[in-house]
Amino acid sequence: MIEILSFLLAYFIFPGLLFASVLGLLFIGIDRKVTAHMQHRIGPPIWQEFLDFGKLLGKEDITPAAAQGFVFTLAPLIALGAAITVMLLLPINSARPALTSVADLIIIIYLLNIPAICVMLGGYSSACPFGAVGANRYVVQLFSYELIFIVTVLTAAVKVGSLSIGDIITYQAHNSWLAFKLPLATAAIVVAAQAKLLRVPFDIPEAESEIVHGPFTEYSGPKLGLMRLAYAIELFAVAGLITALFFGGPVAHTIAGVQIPGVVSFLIKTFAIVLFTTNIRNIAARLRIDQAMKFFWTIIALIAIVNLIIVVL
Amino acid sequence: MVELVWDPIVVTTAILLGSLVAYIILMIGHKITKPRLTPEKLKTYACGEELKPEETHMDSEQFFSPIRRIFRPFYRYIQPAHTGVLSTYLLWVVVGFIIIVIIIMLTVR
Repeated sequence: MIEILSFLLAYFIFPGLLFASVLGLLFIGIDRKVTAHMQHRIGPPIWQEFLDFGKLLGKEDITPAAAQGFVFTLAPLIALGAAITVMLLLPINSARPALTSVADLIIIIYLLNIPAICVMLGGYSSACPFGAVGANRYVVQLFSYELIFIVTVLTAAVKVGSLSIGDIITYQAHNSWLAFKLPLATAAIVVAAQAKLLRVPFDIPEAESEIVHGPFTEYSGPKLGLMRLAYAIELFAVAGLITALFFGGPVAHTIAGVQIPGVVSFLIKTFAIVLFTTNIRNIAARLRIDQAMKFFWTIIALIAIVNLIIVVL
Repeated sequence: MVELVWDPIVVTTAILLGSLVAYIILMIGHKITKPRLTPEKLKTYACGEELKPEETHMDSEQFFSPIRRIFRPFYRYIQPAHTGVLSTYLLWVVVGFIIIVIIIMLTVR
């Protein structure tokens, strides 16, 4: 009984739905504000994403007549479910996440792909040419970045000798951050994360100036709100995973006799990673899908595989 | 911090629970604003143009075209070796499998 209550508390409050939603939406709000300042605009307030989400919930929910309604509706629901579940597997406050396993890294990689697959299914099922083109581009992009993402995560796992994210954090607590030991893998995973989160220069599947909004074109009202919420949580989860794997994860400190919980350092590092990706997205221009694929399968793959080979040897 | 032993059923339940929460949010949205559907609202967006049914579905060319462009130099060397003989093809699959197994064994020492 206590286990179920603990699970529900973790799921709905911390580090699940409430915590991840608030932080994810806040990070996107800050991202938009920083972007605006970099473009010499005032920009929206940082809580704009909360207002947008609330407003979308109050809008009409329309499913196009030509769309496959069941898949079109199911995609945002599953995407949100998977995004929340990833949060339970991430160590937010200490080396032990809410759900632990002997090989949780594999589960995290698998779960992080579900929102992407849901976006593709949503695009294909919308019966919209922009949605179909966007979903096609997303599939190609997934093939491009996912190999790098897996290789870099595997590099960290091989270095520590464990597929458990808790063991990787414990290793970093006794040694130094893996970012210092595996700089090439760190650089590769940051670039792969940029593509995973559809951020410039890899916003190819939803390129507004070419294909309206790609797979999201036909989404409106509450379903679009859910998609955006799932994306916000995914942003937080991907940045959190990089923090845990390469930047030491959550570390508790004592400053002037005051105990600072690990979650504070985790949030600072995660926020720094999000800000870094925001900077990349503001100084780069969108690539074509074949350019993105070539970039990943040549330069970034080489960097990631060289680092893996160095670690194996 | 809550600690539970991982179980595939727990993870699947967590995904389904999140989907249920999302469905409840969707229903709340429906309660707030009841959809007043009209034929115009249900039409697929196509920048004001009329869509033909064949244009509403995916085109596999969109998927294969970038892959073909990237691997064109690779195909130049591979195509002559592609005889179309099934046994040769299967041999390459087995060779590839053995290489992957060796890499995994070396990695997970």
